[in-house]
Amino acid sequence: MKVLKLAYLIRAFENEIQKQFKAGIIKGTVHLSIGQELVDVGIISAYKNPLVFGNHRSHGQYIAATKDIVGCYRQILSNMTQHLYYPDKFLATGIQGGLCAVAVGNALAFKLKGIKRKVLCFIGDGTLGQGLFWESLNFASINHLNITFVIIDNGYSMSKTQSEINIQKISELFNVYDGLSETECSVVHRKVSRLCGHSCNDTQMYRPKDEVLKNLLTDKKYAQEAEQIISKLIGR
Amino acid sequence: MRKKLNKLFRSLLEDKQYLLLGQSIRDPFGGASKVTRGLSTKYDSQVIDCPISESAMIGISTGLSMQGFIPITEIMFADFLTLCVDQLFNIAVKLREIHGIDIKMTIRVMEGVKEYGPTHNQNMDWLRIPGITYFRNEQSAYTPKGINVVIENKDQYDSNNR
Repeated sequence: MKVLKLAYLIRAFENEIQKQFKAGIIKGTVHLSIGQELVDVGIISAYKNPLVFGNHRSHGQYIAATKDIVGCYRQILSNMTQHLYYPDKFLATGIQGGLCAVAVGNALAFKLKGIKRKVLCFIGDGTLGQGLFWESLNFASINHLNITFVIIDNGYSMSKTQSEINIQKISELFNVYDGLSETECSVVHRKVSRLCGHSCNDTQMYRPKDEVLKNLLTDKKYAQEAEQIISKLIGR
Repeated sequence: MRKKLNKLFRSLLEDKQYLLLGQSIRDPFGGASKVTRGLSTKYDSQVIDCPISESAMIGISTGLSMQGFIPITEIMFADFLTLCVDQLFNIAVKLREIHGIDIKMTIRVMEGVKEYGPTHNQNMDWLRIPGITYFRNEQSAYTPKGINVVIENKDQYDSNNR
C-alpha cells in the first residue's frame, strides 16, 4: 500500500535525522514526527492536491504533501525544521497555531475564485491553548470554507500531559464537526503516540520510564491502529 | 476624507483582486467610520464582514494575499493593532521576507482623541514593525506593494482636505 510505504519512508527519514542530530551534523533543534506518520500520510493522501499547513512537528506532513525528501533535508540543515515551505503545496511555522488564520484565508480565496481545493491545517493538541485557532475555526465555519483542521493528539505539550493543561476532553469539544466532509469546514481528531522527545534536545525525564520503553516496542500495535485509520480514510 | 476614501475604494473594487475586510463594514452599518457605506451593496462578494477576531483578520488577509487577492483590512481603532502584532511580525512579514511570498495588503486603522476612552483613542506611533510601511491618510498606501498600515485621524473624516 502506497500510504504505508510512504509512512515507513518518513519513519526511516526521521530516524536518520535523529542520528545526524546526535552526531552533530544537524545543529540547533529538530522536532521529529516519529509516531504520527500514518495519520499525516493517511489524511494528506485522502485528498487530491490539498494545500497543507503543517503543525509543530511537520517533516512527515511536508514529505507526504510534496514528496520532496531532499528539499526537506536541505531545509532542516538550514535550521528550518519548523518552518518548511514548498510553494503552493506546504507551509509551516514555529508559532503554535500561527498559520490557522492564513490557512482560512487561503480557503476563503479558493471559495471566492470558485476553486474546489481542500485546505488541510494540522495542529497539535497543545495548540488548543491558542486563541487564534478558535478565531480561525469560527470564521471558517460561518463562511462554510473547504478546510479541515487536523488535531494530532499525542497527549503532550512539551513536558505537560493533556490533563494538566486542558480542562475538557478534546473528543467532547468538536461534536459539531463530526467526521470528514468534502466541502465544509471540519475537525479531525486523531490520537497518536509521540515516540520521541519534544525536540531532539529533550531527554523525556518527565515521562514514565515504562511509557518510553513501551513506545519503543509498540510499532506493531501502532501499525494495526494506523491501518484502521487508513482504511477509514481511503476506503471511502 | 470619508467621501474621498469611499470614492477611492469604489474605483479599486472595480478590480476583482481587491477585497475589503472589517467588522460591520457591510451595509447598512457601513463601518465604524462609515467609510465603506454603500460598497457592499454594489460589490457584494468583495466586502467581507469579520467576527471580532483582529488577529485572525490579519492572518486571513495574509492567506488571501497568497492567492493573489489584495485585501484592505479595517482594524477599527489603532489601539487594536497590538492584537495583530504576532500575525504581522511573525507571519505576514516573515512569509514575505524569508520565503519570498508576495504578500500585498493594506491595513486601515483610526486614531486620535475623541472622547472614546483609553482603549479607543491611542496614537500608535510607538508601534513600528520592521518590514511594514506606515502611511498617514495617503493614497499611495493603496498602491499594491508589500504590507502597509495606513493611519486615519478621526478628526479628518468630516474634512474635505486630503
